[in-house]
Amino acid sequence: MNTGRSAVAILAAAFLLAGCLYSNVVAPLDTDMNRTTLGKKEGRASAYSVLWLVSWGDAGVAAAAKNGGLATVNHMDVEVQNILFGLYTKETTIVYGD
Amino acid sequence: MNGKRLAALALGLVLLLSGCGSLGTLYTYRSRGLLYTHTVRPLTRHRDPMVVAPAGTASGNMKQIQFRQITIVWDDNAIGEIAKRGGIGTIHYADLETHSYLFNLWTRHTVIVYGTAANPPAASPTTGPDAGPQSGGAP
Repeated sequence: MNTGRSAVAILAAAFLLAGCLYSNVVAPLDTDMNRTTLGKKEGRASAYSVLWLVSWGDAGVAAAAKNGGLATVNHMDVEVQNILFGLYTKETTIVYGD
Repeated sequence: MNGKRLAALALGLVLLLSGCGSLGTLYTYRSRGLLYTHTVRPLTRHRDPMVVAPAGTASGNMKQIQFRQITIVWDDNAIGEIAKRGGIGTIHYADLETHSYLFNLWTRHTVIVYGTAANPPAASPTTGPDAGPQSGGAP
């Protein structure tokens, strides 16, 4: 009986804690890189989330391009920072172009 | 012994269920605030170079009221419909703006479409000497 309860508790904990203790990764937002020229400029725009309670920020393509002074976007990446299972998250859209 | 097995099981589950290594998590991941959310994120992933500051911008939004399992959603967020309504002829890209309050009790998704304004209607046929023969005209 105790073993059963423990197994259930562990399963519940595993499901609840599923996610990332810490991550800081960058991945492509578009997948066709065939003969893509990155360009000379880079722009970033971020959105944030804290304590799972509030989330804010403009991480759109338009904002990222504006921040970097881009007129043409050739490639996009996304950077995700995640601390303590989402206690703090930052998602950054990165655009490359001219 | 049982304790060790359970610990191994838990460790295995945590590792298996962990979203850290999954690229799929990156693309589906959308951080939302339970009390307040106001974010803008890319909606389209273009494969070709796109012009960032085109002439036209149009937006449409979809509202949602949710209480527990009951959800009411209405309005239009279709890119084609928004572009048509906003007079955009060529769509370049789109962003998604999300407003959400109080445990998603009220949510509004706004699609912002950026593009080039539709071409003006074709000019009426010229009738000058360079216009060529008109129907029924002399050769």
